[in-house]
Amino acid sequence: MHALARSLAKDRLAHAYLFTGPHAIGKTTLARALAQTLECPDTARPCGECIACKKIARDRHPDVQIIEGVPVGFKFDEKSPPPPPRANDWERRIIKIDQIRLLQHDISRAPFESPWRVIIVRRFEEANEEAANAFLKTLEEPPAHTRIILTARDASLLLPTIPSRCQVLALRPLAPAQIQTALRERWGVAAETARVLAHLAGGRLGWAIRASENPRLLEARHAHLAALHATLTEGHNEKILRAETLAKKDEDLPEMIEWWLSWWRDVLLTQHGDAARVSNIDFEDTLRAHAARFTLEQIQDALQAIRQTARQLAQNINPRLALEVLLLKLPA
Amino acid sequence: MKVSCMQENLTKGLSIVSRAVASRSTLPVLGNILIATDQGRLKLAATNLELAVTCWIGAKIEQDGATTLPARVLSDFINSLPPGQIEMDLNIKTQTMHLKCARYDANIKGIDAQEFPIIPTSSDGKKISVESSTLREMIEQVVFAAATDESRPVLTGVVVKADQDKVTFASADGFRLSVRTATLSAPVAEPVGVIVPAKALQEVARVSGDQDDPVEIAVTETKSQVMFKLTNTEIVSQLIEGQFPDFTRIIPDSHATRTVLTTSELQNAVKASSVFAREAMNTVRLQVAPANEMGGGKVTITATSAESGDNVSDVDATVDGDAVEIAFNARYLADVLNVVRASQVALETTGSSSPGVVKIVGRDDFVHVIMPMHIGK
Repeated sequence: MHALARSLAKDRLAHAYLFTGPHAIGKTTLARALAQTLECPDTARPCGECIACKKIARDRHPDVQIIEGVPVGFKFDEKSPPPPPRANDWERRIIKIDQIRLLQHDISRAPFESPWRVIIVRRFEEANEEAANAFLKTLEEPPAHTRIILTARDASLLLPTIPSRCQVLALRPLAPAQIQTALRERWGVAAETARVLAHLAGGRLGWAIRASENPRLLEARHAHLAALHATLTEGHNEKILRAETLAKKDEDLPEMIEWWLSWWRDVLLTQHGDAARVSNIDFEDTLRAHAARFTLEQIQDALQAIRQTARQLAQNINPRLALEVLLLKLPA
Repeated sequence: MKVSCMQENLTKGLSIVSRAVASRSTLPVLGNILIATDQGRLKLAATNLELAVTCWIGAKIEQDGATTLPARVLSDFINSLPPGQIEMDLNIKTQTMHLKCARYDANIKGIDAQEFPIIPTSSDGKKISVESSTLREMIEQVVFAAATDESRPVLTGVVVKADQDKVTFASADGFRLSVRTATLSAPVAEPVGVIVPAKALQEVARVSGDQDDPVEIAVTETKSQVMFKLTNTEIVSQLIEGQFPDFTRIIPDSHATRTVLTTSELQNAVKASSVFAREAMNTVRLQVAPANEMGGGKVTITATSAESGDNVSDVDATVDGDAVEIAFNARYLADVLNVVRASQVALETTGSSSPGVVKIVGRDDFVHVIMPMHIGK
């Protein structure tokens, strides 16, 4: 961040940046802020008040383009409407070569109303190899008046030729206390909610803000944890039935897996006496109960079984069978 | 905002600007047409961020204002109205335009005009002025040679250069080059050179079709746009960034053979040959034979297809220089012959593997270079 601020102050920005970090940590927010800084005519850039800043904040600026992958099977061409917004963080999307080609056409033109053309390509790890390769030349030598910002979960997920052509900036998670203060002071979130969200966020302010605005995220978490707690006391038949029900909503499974992992991690931490780093702080009593009920080995096995299931689900294995195995493996 | 105007004028204005409405865009406002009052007239504008067309029509303005309305809905509705007065009244709060014409009423929902990109308008910068008929001819004689393939963006554009009292349009796609010059009525203060997308020039040619006044061409101060100012209409196009190859080096400075032909005869012969040429990578062969004791000079045009057969046509020609055999892409020959607008053309060649040059006899303001195709013996 300081490096970025320094090059801004000296007006010596790199032609291409790669912002890395987990989902909802603020990569695109930072990219927008950088775009505002470039386009804002005010001396105290970005002012946040002028038309340019406002348009960028709402993704309506003609010279600031945000490109995202399209859903699998989405036919992309010049005439196609913009792809629908992402259903959730785990939806699989692809950045296609045609999107890159259209982008290359756009940047061959001078910017329309502002000094720079800023291209933000989100989640570049979703670019297929063709698209990534087609982008290399542009990334190396973008036309004058063009700045490119890529975001990705991790630089290692990209072709090595991509990060080597960008200035890489890894965004680090924030401490829960920082998130808690920000939520309360800037987003007016109630104290207790802010405390819980700050711990659940895993350092991702963006996630905490989204969860504070959209109660569905927390409700879903409650449901996922409730299912986990219930299944720990269930018999064979009930587990098989539960696996079947869970498998029917397979788009929710990646989210469920994350919450289940975070739960067992917290049980492990509680057992170890490291309560300060626990994230599910609103379930303290249950955590303590589980920490007392299960042995260290059982907890480790549970974590391993969940991770294995996550891998299997990503590899297109029948979700019902994978879940049956997982539920049966969880300690009783 | 409260205005009234004639349905005929509005229809015409909308048809001029709608060509610039974006068909695909992440910005919803680009699917809209800007409607704003402007010094006693009504301004219509549309842009797809590459091309922006603004058009002014006469209107009675009772209250100033601006909004943007969806292009399709607006044009389709206005087109279906009877000729006569249309009254428009904008509800600023809901950004809804109320339209009334005879016994037809409509409310069209719009987007705030603030959202609309800022289209640069004529500055006091340096302008060049070109007769509109000359400009249309120049565009016609050059744009077809621009590349349609995006792999080299600069080649999809037309170089527009002005130096002293000469203006040059040039385009090339790697296989052919078209250059047309014209003399300006007033010399430019300093040379300018920009690359204008071919599509934008086609639009200028289309819109300037029924205008007699000269067209003013200006480059914005930021050097990112070019503006064509017509009577009541302005077309602004983004420029293509990059360096256009030095085309003057591609034009051969000498030739071994100069063949003068009647345009229509050559056109017909090429058309006949292209029937067979299309199955043979569009190759047509031209055998140029100077006059000898057997008769006058002629060009024999042949095309051979392994499947359908072959053809041979003779065209009389005045040949000055050596005999030569050269092959071209039939489409490229047809394209250039279509736009020369002259009864006689000259083909200058130096051999079967050197580029051929097509010129208009008696004029030196048009040069077209075509790369030859390989003649397999």
